[in-house]
This record gives sequence, C-alpha cells and structure tokens, in this order.
Amino acid sequence: MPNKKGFSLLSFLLYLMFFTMIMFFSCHIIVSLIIPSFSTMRKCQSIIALHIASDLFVRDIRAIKSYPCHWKLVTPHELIWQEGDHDVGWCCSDNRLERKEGIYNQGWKHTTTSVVAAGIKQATFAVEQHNKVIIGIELTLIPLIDQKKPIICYVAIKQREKT
Amino acid sequence: MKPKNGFLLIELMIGLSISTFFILIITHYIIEVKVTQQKALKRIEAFSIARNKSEKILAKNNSDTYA
Repeated sequence: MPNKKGFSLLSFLLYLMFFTMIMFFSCHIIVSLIIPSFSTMRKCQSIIALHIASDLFVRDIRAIKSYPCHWKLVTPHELIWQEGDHDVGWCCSDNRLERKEGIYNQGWKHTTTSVVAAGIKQATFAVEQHNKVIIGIELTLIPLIDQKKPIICYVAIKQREKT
Repeated sequence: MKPKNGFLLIELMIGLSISTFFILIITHYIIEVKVTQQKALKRIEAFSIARNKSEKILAKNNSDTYA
C-alpha cells in the first residue's frame, strides 16, 4: 500500500474554512469589544486620577493652619498661600496640575514641585468671597480625554480654628 | 505501524475550541474590569457631588458665623 503524501483539496478547503472562521471571530471580538473596552478603561482611569487630584487639593486647603489665611497670589490659574514659614501653591502648566512648596516673593525660590495630575487641558481656580474674605475655592479641571465633562470640586476655607 | 502525517480534523477542532475559549475568557475579564471601573467612577462622582454640596453649606455657615 503506497504512503499517503500531502492532503486532499477537500481537506485543505475544510481546514482553510475553519481557520478563516476562527480568525474572523477573533478579529471581530478584538475590534468590537476589546479595543473599545481598553479605550473606556483609559478614560475612566484618567478621570479617576483627576478626582484623586481634586481630593488632594481639598486636603491641602483643609490643612491650612493659619487663621486668617494669608493669600499671596489668587488668580484663575494659580493659587499661592502662606503656610507657616513656607508657601504652598497650586497651578497648571504643560497640561499638568502641579503643587509647589517653597518661598514665594515675586517668584518662586527654593521650590519643590510635585506633579499631582497629568492630562489636564485647563485648571481654573474660582474664589468665593464674603466681605472681602475668601470663604471657598472652586477648582475646575478639564481633562484632555473628555473636555465636555469638567471635574468641579469646591472646598470651604476655615475662618477660625475651633476652640 | 503507519507513521502519522500532519494532524487530524478532530485535533484541529479541539485546538480551535480551546483558543476560542481562551479568547472569550480574556474578553470577559476585560469587560468585567471595564464595568467595575465604570461603577467605581460613578460612585466617586456621586461622592464628589455630595462633598461639593456639603462644603458649600460649610462655607456659607462659616461666613455667617464669622461675618
């Protein structure tokens, strides 16, 4: 009996059909489910990171120990206040939200800069005043990944230490 | 004994079934992570809105008390 060499055209077509089906199925799943899921996950992670950054800002403001607070610079894009013997500032530059700590006197000296969050299109500080005293600050973060949905956080300023 | 050349159709089908199963498991895992993240984000946003409201009330109370 002669040995069988190769395979028949029918077997080849059958194998080819199965391979084509499985490849089509795999590509369909990857395109329709996995890639959009990864995109949504990246967006969620970015927005959660901005919420964490806003939590840090709230914590920083709530941790002010001096009453009344000595504000050194209050602009829509930068906020600097005195905290003991040094100054603390928050600003947005190069699409990053930064926290600066050092000495501010018409400019930063001996500064330590920490990047709190990245991927920010714009960060705006809006102060709320009552009798020329700042009673609250609203931080609006516009993420690069979803510019239609800004993250807004409001924090009240303690006017006097509780006795 | 006759030597075996290539593979059988049944072996191919088993291989394809296993690979499909793995693809489905990985897809299911990724979608599950995505859904969990979306739920977490909804909760974080709800907490953020609640904190904003409470902070606004606190700021108003502070301004009224120490005016």
